[in-house]
Amino acid sequence: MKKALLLFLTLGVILAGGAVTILLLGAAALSAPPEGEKTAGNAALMDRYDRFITNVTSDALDGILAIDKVYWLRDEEPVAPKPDPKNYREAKSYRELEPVLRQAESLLEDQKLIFGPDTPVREEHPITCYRDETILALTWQEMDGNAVYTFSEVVIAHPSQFRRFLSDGKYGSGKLYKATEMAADVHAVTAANADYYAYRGYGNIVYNGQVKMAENRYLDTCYVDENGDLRMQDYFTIYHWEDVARFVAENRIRFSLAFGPILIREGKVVAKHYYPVGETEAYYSRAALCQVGKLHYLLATVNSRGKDVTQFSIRLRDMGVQQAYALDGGQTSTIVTGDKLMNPVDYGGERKTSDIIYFATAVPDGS
Amino acid sequence: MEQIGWIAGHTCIYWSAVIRALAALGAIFAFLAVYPRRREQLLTCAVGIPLALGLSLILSRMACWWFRPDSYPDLKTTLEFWKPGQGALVGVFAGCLVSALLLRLVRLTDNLPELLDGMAIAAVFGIALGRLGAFFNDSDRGMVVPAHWSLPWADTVINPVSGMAECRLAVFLLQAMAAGGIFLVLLILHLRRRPGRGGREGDLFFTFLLLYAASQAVLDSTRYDALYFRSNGFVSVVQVLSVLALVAAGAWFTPRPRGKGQWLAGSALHAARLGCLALAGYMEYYVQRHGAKAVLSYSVMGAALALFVLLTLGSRPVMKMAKMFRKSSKNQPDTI
Repeated sequence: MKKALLLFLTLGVILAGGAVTILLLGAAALSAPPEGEKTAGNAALMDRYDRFITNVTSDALDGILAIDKVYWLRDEEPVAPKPDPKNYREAKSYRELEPVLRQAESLLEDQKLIFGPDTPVREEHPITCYRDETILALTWQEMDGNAVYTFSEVVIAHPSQFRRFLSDGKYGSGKLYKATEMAADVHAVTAANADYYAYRGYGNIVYNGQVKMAENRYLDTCYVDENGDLRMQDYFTIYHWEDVARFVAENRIRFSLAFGPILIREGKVVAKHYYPVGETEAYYSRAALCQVGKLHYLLATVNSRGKDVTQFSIRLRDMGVQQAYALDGGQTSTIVTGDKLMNPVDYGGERKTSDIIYFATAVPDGS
Repeated sequence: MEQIGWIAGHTCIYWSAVIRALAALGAIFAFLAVYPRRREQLLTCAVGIPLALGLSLILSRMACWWFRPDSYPDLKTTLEFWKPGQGALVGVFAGCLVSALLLRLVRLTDNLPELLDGMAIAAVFGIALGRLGAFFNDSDRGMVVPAHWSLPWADTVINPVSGMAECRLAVFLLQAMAAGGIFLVLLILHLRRRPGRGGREGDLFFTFLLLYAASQAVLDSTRYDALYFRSNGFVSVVQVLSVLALVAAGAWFTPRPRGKGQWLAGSALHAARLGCLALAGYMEYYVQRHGAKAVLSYSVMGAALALFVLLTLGSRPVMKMAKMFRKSSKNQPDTI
């Protein structure tokens, strides 16, 4: 018996030593890849070619034909073009930004910005602005008693610039990151936390046009279609996989959010008082995705003392919001602009979460 | 990113898989080195090892599928364990435990604690080796730390989306080091064990539970890909199981009180340990809300759990002293 024990001990030691040697050899052979090396991007060749040709043609025809440049992004490629740092500006008042806003008139078409000369901007926090030919994003804060509202108003040129990102770029990765980390990864101009889908096993979840979960017996759903419009759906409307898939195909849904409740519909407050998530009746930090007009959005959070959903909804409606949908609140509620956290997150630090929504520039890198 | 070791036909052999296989082999050899003392126990090994391996493979994949439903499309695919897929270490523990219980049930062993003692040493040796597979992939899944941190505390991993290099806490390496330390402690205890020296069979297993659970309760909190129960997204599966393991070890090492003195000492021990767990739990709550104070939070949590371990391992001597104190106070002569 002792001999057998000795034999096994010896074999064990040899094995462990061998494993460690292989490890060290392997580790020595590895070297950290150079900073900035890209691994993402598995797009089909023809799709990439198609996008490249569209963008190059748009560039070439600019000024020759009376056709505006059209840039667009593929949903399957989570990493958007990098925003040009020169296009970020900080200002203390509307007046300082007036020249930039005038340049953005072509993006706005006939729409009016919520942010204006009368906006009661919180003085301690500068207004952050990003503008290029495909996006205008303005982020500012306002006070309401002890509550701090943070808004990010965004106008984009193409619906594909409004995007949803799940951690590691895929559904169900199981990884959690801070919103600032994810926003930096995908080159968001401005981003917000989404519904923290990984936390719940229910909700109608669509990602890149594919149904990932069909169970809306508890949560309202906010779908985003190919035109970038928000399509709200009350809970218990459709919850069978086939029905959701049909709805997605018929309405060309790109992605959805499953938290809620729906706050505003066609300019009217419709917030539910009894809702299974988000403690709607309590004074709580809140976040919302709002649509103001065509390709015109508002991301909103309220922190510090917080608000109940009705107060939050009324405030958004009074600002001119047409559609609004509540995102995950509390410590999750986050707005990020240019990789910077813009709102005073609860407890002073971001919570790790599974997903964000974001707006990106469509101007290709290096243009 | 997984480092490919070599390609055999249409099959890629990854280094991390090789390390895991070596770790499993190492665990088997460690088990064979410490467990069989009698000839009939070789039959237990011959049946138990393949059984534990098979159950571990299946249950580790089922655990992964249950706690992360999107890791497999359905249960059928999950159970095709000969195909590539993810697994959870908690399933390996379940597989080994179930196989031990089955061996006891069919009477291939009449001494379950002795079997569990052997398995504990083997398991912790396997974990210490297996976690080193993180050298060959980007699975060192800790929080982002300052870029100047280096091994063994932090390692550079590639962000799967942006492709950027990130400096993250080297959780797997820390887990490997913790498991290595626990293996040494258990091995020393095993080699020093002699009849009549105190202690009982099962002590090694519960010492393993105690030390491993205490280390995992802290380390798992720093991971960004921890497994969560479907109904709770804040306290990880490993942390919940760790608390249960700590409580079980506490119960094992604390003798049943006999007499008032021991009852008082036992109550004080339980209260102190409960306090330690409460403090560790509060620090988990705290760090989730104050991520910037992670070093402070994990230090306090680690200290609280270390105290829990000390109080548990010291339970028997304390209770013994309480008994002796009670006896001596009873035997004191009446001075009046």
